[in-house]
Amino acid sequence: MNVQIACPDCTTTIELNPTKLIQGNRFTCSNCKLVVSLAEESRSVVEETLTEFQKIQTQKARQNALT
Amino acid sequence: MAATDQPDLVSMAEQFTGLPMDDLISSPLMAAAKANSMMATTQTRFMLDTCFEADETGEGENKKITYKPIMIKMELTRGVLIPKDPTKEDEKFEIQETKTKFDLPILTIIPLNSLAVDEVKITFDMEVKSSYGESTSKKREEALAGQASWEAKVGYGPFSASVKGSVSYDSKSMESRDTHYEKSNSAQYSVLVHASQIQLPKGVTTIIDAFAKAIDPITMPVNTGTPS
Repeated sequence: MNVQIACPDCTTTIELNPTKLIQGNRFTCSNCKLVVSLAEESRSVVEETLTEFQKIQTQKARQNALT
Repeated sequence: MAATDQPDLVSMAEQFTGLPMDDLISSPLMAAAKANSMMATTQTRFMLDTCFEADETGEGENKKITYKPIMIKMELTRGVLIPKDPTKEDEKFEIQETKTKFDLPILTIIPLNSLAVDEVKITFDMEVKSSYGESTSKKREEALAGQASWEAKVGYGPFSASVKGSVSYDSKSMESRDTHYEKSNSAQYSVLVHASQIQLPKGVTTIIDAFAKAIDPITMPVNTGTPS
């Protein structure tokens, strides 16, 4: 699932995919062509957080199936 | 056959009155709401545990926990026109790729609003049909036929006479009766309950929005072509 952040330069919404972000993908602002990517030093922190998040999502899927 | 002799059709209202509609509709909704509530608790715990750093101060009743957002570093890349020789005016420019870094709360890149029961649909259909039909067929046919013949001879001397006669009759009567009676009724009861995920609470979106707006890129020093 994508998340949105405001472009630091022109405040246009930039859609980011967190999974692709940790894979090293870069996202471009549609207005000012600014390229946003995740810095190498933060990659592990985001990866850990996303892993935890995916665990909760799996839990959610199980609960939805029971509902 | 008189209409009163025929069996009554099923009362539609009676068929629906005994249904536990409250349970049929509310039970799945309650289960979904409970699951959503559990997910909200898990989500809050997740947010506090993984997206914030807890700082505990004091002890006992004076214990205070301050949550500080975990920040991640993002990189901005863009082409910048930089004079080949910054010391000279009217110098030709060249495009250089410059990189800047800014801090972003990790909370803003986690798709938190996906952690909820997306949709609950309860469709309950009940259909009652009742019908009655009667068909009577009666046929009567009568045929009568008769035939008689007779012959007489009279003779006297050289004279003789003969008389022949015959009589017949034929009668036919037919009666046919066909009765067809049919009555039917039907009713359908359809219930559709739809519940879907609402947006994130205003408070959470405000925090995320504030974080997102607070992104402060580092300004490139003037008259230097070197990326920071």
